[in-house]
Amino acid sequence: MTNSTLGVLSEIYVHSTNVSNAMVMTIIGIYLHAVFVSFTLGFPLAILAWLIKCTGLATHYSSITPRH
Amino acid sequence: MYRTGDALFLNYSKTLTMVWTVNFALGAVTGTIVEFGLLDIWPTSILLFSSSAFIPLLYEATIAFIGEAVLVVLFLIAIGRWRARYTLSILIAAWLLGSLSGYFILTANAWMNVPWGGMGGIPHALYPFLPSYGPDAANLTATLNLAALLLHYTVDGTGSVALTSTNFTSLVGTYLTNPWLPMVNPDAVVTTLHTLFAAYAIGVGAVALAISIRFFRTHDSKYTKLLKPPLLWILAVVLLIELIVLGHFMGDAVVTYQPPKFTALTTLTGGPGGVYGYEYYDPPVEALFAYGNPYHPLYGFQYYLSQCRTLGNTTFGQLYGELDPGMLSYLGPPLANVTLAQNCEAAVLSLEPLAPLVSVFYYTMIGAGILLAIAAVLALFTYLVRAPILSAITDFINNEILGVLIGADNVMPFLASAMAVLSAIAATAGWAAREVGRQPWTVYGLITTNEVVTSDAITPGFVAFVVAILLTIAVVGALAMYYVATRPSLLDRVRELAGGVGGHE
Repeated sequence: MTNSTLGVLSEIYVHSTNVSNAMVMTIIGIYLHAVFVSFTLGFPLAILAWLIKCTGLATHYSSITPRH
Repeated sequence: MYRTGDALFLNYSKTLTMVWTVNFALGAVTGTIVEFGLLDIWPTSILLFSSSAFIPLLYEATIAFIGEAVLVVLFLIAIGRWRARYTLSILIAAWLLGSLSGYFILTANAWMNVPWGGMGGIPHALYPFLPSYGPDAANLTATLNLAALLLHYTVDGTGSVALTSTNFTSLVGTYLTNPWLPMVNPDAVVTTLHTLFAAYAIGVGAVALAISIRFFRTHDSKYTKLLKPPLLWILAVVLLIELIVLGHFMGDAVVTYQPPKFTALTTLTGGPGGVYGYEYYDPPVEALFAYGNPYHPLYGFQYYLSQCRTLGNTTFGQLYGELDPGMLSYLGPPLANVTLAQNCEAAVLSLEPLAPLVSVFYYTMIGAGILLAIAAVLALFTYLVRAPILSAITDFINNEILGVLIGADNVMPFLASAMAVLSAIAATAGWAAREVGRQPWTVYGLITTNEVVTSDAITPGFVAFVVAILLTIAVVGALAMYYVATRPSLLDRVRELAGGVGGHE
């Protein structure tokens, strides 16, 4: 596919130089943000799991035996 | 309060809380930069902010983010000092609000992938291979006006500068006002769950990786105690749900709403000329998951081009002459003479060159996902639950193969590390496949990427400057996290300096 094949539509559909340049910083920026946000969402689960261990909640519930 | 008296878990919880807080701040900083980038580098997105398409971002800022920020600070005060049930409740609430924040942001992203209700029938009318995206809730005249103006100014080279004219907005009118449609978008639900679970895996995986690296260096048994069972359980469960359930639904959404992207995804396995032909047969797995039939043919780019040709010789000029004659002057001769079929074909042809790249990302994600599933199953049935046959198999692999190769003690931390690294690879590749595969559109079937970018010249020097700032934030952020992670008593010292807020431990 060449720009001449598309004619005026290449202005709409084929990435301009501005788009190509903008993509570089946008991709890095969003990726970096996503890394920090992923950690922000995952760390509480690890903290929660450790706190449950240290509060004894896990032991408490696992020691409850069903009644027959 | 803290019944077991096991200081190990409490101390590590406090340290990780400090890392979490630093991370939260870095997320806010980079989020602000991304937001400015959206407005300054991709200014046509202002149209989406001003309509209800991006209204979830308002909810994110005013409900979820603010609430999460308050609770993070409260948790810093509470951990180890307040009653356990209060501390845990605050943490769970903060995590839920963080996840809600993710839902709002991902809903805006999902709307750009599947513009639900944004004149649902227009993408299908312009590109017949696309489905209808929900109800025709947007204003038709506003949509046509917007399309004509964006086409005109993009071809003219002035692009987004036109947005600075009040005349532009008055010409467009009111586009989309229903605040609920973006949030009930079926793609938003799937995207949110799929992405949130990936984020949970990456976050917990990063902690597991750090703990495993410490174990490899010291062989201190406290690190295996921190890993198993708490972190290993979360990783195994989150990953298996993500891979088996949510991954499947995400794939279904692509097949249903973005058929050309699905074709691009399978470029590498479609055989010689496969995806570039009319239809092709892929190894049975893709067709089985896409259509429930392993022998179902998949559509190639020629199929989409043939669908374009069904639009006939109708031109934009004829279309606007009938539906929106006021905009004819903006289309001008070159665009007015373009047929709808040519426009549709141009969209398909512009995706074709990107297809191999999209496919590389996709199969990297699939490969990492398969290895992830194996690691999760090996961890689950040897270290967490016992199942008669499965545990015998995983025990054999872990003890007789991996144990011999890397040492018996190292197997469990190795599996945790593998899950962490593979989660990051799978998520990165999946994100890249999703976003590159969305081309040539920013809003699928409605607004192209060229129509959104600023018309001010973005020079390589400016790009280098912004990239340097971002990389500096990445390096400084990583160092800050390492600093707080390696100072176990930092939280207590900070609280002492702050005057011992919050009572006693």
